Amino acid sequence: MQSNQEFALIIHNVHKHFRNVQALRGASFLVEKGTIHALLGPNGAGKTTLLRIIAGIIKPDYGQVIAFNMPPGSPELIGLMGYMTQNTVGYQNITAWKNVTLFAEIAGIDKQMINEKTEYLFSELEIMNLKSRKFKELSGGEKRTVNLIRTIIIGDKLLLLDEPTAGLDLERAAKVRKLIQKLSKEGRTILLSSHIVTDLENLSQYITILHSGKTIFTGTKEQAIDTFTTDEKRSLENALLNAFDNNPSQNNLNSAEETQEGQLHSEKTGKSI
Amino acid sequence: MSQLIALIKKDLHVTLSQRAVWFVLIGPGLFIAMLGLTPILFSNTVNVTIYIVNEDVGVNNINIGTNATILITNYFMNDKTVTIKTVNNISKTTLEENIVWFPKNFTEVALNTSVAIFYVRTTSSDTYTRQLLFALIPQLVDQAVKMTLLPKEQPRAQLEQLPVQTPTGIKVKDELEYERAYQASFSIGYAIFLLSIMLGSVGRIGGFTRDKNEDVLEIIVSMVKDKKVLLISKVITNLILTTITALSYVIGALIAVIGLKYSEIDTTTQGTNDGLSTLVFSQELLLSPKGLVIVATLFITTSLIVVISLLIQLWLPKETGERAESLIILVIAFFFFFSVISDPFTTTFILLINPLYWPYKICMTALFPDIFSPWTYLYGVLIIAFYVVSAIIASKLIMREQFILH
Ligand SMILES: Nc1ncnc2c1ncn2[C@@H]1O[C@H](COP(=O)(O)OP(=O)(O)O)[C@@H](O)[C@H]1O
Ligand SMILES: [Mg+2]
Repeated sequence: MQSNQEFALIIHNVHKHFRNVQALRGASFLVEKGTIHALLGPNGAGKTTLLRIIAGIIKPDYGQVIAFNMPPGSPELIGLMGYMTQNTVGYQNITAWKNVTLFAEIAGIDKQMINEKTEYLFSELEIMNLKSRKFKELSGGEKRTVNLIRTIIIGDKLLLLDEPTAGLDLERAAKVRKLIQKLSKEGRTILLSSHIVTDLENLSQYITILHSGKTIFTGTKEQAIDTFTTDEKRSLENALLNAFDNNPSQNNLNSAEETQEGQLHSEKTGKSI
Repeated sequence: MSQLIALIKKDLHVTLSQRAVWFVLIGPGLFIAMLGLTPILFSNTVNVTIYIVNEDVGVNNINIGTNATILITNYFMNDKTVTIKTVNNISKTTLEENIVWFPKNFTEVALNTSVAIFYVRTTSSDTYTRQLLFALIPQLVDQAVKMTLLPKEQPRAQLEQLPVQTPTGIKVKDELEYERAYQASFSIGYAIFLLSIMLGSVGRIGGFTRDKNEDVLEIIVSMVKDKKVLLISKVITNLILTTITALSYVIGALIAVIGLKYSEIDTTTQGTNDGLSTLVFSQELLLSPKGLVIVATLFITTSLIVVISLLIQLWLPKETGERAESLIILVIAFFFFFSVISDPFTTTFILLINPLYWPYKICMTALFPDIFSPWTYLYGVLIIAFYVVSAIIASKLIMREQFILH
C-alpha cells in the first residue's frame, strides 16, 4: 500500500454490506491534496456509504481507506476532516449560530477561532441576519448553508460533502460553489457527491463514477468525456448518461462475487495504486 | 476531557433550550409543594361561621341543648377558621346562615323517646363546611347527650369503668415506629414513582434518541475520539438533569412541610393526615438528618432510571426505542408503586427484581433500623452490580453500527 504525500485520500477496494445489501463492492480511487473531487453515481450507488466510511462513522468489511496517512477514526483527524451529511441536520430548538459553534467545540477547535470563522462564513454566505434565529425557523436551503458552514469550520484540511448543493436555490448554489472553489485554492481538499452536472462542470477537476458500489471510472473530466462519448456528442452530461447506461444496476449479494477482486480501472485513468 | 466538557455543554444547552423540559425538571417539585400546601389553600378559602340556636328549655335542671352548645363552642375555641355564634331564637338567623338548632323540647323529647332531634341547615356546598355540620357537630351533640344523660341513668360503678386511656408500655413504642414506617413508605414510594415517570421523558430529551431524531448523531460520532466519551457525556448530562429534578422534588416537599409548620394550621381538625398529603414527607423525616437519606435515595433512584433509559436507547432503533423506553419505565414504576401501597414491607422475591425497590429498601432500613434487617443493605451490592453490568453492556452496544444508522 502506497502512502503518498500527494494524496489526501486513498480508497482501495472497499467493500461494505448491510444485511442483504452489498452497498460497496470494490470502490477505489485517489484524491489529490488541494483538489475538488466529485463522486458520482445513481441513487444507491454507495456514495453516502463511502463517505461515512471515510468519516470514520462505519467500518468497511474489506479494503483500505487512508486519510492523510491515517486510518479513518484516528483522533488526529478530528478538526481536520469535516463531514456534511446528505440530510440537513441540526438541533431545531437552538440558534443557527449555536448549531455551528457547539459542534466545532466538540471538535476541539479554539473558541475564538470558531467565532471568527463563523462570523466570516455567515457574512460570506449572506446569512448574518439568521445568526440568532432558531434552526427550525430557517428554510431548507438556509439550514443546508448552516450545515456547510459547520463542516467547513470542522474540516480544516478535508471536506466530505454529501450533495452540498442539493436543495439550494440557483443563487445560493452559485455562492456555495464559489466558496468551495475558494477553499480549494486555499489548499483544502474537497470530496463531494453530486447529481448536479453544473457542480461537476464548474467545480471539480476530478471525477469518480460509482456504480452498484464499485468504481467504473476515475480521472479528470476530459478523460471521462473521452472515455464515454463519441465525437458528435461530447459533453459531460452525455458521458455520465452513457456511463450509467452501460453498467446496469446489480445491487444485490448474488452478483457480488465477481467483483471481489475490486480492480481499479487504472487503464482508463492513467493513475494506479 | 475537553471533548467531554464540550459534549456535555452542547447537550445541556440543547436540552434546556426547550421550554417543555423545564416543566419536566421542576414539575414534580411544584406538584409536591402544591399537594403538601393544599391544607393551607383549603383553609384560606373556608372561613366558616356557624350559628348555634339554643331554644332548649330543658327538663328539671337537665339541659342537653345548653351542654351541647358549650361543648361545640369549646371544641372550636382555638380553631381560627371556624367561628361559633350562639343565639337563643331561630328568628334571629337568616336562611343563608349555617345553623344548628336545638328546639324548645330537645331535652324533653330525648328523655321520653330516646331520640334527640336537632336541626342543621346550610346552603354551603363546600365539603369542609358540610363535614363540620353533618359529621363532626352531630358527633359532638351525641357526646353531649351521653355526657348529660349517662350519669343520671347508669350506675356510678359502670361509669368509672369506662376506659379513659390505653395502657402504656414498651409495645406501644414499637407500634408507633411501625406506624411511622408505614406512613413514610407512602411518601418515599410516591417520590420514587413520580420521579421515575417524569424522568422517563428527561432521558428522551437529553439522551441519544433526541440526537437520532435530529439526525446529528452521525456528525457527533465522526468527531468523538472514542465513543465511550460520548456515552460518559450522556450519563453525566442526564445525571445533571435528573439531579435538578430530584432536588426540585425535595425542595418542593420542604416548602410544603415548612409552610404547613408555620401556617399554624391545626392539621388534626382539617383531616390532613389522610388522603393526598400522606404522599408528602412528614416533618420529622424531612426536617432532620434523615432528610439526607431521602435526598440520597432519590438521587440513586434517578441514576437507575437514567441507566435503564440510556440502555434502551442504545439497544433499540429510534422509533421502537422511544416507545419502549416510556413503556418499560412506566411498567416498572407502576409495579413498584402498587406493590408498595399494598405491602410496604414486602420481601416477595419476584417483586424485589424491580430495581426501584433497591434504593427504597435501603432507604427504609436506614430510616427505621428497628424494623428492617441490616441484611437489606445488601441491595446496595445489587445496585453497584447493576451499574457495572450496565456499563459493560452499554459500551458494547454503542460500538454497533446499527446504533448510529438506525
Ligand atoms: N443503514 C443501511 N442499512 C441497510 N442498507 C443500507 C444502509 N445504508 C445504505 N444502504 C443501502 O446501501 C446502498 C447504497 O446506499 P447509499 O450509500 O446511501 O447510496 P447513494 O448515497 O449513492 O445514493 C443502497 O442500496 C442502500 O439501500
Ligand atoms: Mg446518498
